[in-house]
Amino acid sequence: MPNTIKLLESIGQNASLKEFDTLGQLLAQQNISEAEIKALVNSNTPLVCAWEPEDDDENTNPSQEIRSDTVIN
Amino acid sequence: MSKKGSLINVGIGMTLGAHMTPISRNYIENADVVFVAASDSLIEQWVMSMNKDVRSLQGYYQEGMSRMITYRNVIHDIMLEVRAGKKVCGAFYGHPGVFSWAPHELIKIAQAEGYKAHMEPGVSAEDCLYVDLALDPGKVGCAHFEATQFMTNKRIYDSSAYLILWQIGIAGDKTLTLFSTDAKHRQVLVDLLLQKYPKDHSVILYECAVLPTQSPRIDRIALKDLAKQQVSLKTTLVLPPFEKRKTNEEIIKQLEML
Repeated sequence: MPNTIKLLESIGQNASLKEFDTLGQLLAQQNISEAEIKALVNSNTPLVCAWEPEDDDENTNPSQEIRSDTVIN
Repeated sequence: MSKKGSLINVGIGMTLGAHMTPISRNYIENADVVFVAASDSLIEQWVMSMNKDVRSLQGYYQEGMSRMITYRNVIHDIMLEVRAGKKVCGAFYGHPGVFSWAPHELIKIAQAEGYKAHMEPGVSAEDCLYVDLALDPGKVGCAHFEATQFMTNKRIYDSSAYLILWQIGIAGDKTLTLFSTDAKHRQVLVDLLLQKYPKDHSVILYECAVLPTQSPRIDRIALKDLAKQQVSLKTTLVLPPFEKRKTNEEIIKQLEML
């Protein structure tokens, strides 16, 4: 596991920001430098996470597998 | 006797490091192949660190292509590995069975074909919302709807309970092809809600923290100002109760006569 991700995992497993007034206090308790974390966090990008409810139209006709002819990036 | 392949869909929770259950982690680590749908790139990288063969589902999404095609392709490719006799794990952000179409379909298909298949729960955005907003859904009741489904169906809802609308970032998109809709779409939603709530009713825009270094987004705004707010796929709209509950005297009388 890359060290930086391990660092975030360790924070998530051991402490909650809700216990502290600032992120700096949380990181100090975990002996982690703020600069190291900021660089990592700034590299994060949101991914697509959307969901569609079942509906009566053709878009949600269930469980038909497609593939092969669809172009995927 | 079940066939050799298997499928377990697990929830990876919402916050990196904090929410994954031990059993979900175990299934990810010991699978032959893992398919991951994460909310953020760092969370995807985190899951990728747990198994040699982790495949991202991000490439299946394309703006302009119906997400139902995306989901069917996801189902096709995951089932391909199950049918090849592999131990397959689907790792989905939050809870694999909450606001999640493909994981449910996958379990149904795999079981119908005779494979062992089940889900393991995870911490969902809904779970985070209750703690971050200090909201108990049992106190006055709580209804959840997907925003577009709420808008395009004549839903009967109760303004004396909490109303929670998910995916307001794509509210009003019936094409299932967009990753965002605009203020005009949200204004249609506002106008619909104004039929029951006053324009100054205080509502909440909520996004849970996905990294342990973040705080959740909790923005309290007047309902009339909703359309012009910045929202994303992760934003949820919470409408606190407006009216007082009305006692059902008829039922109370019936109960007293028992």
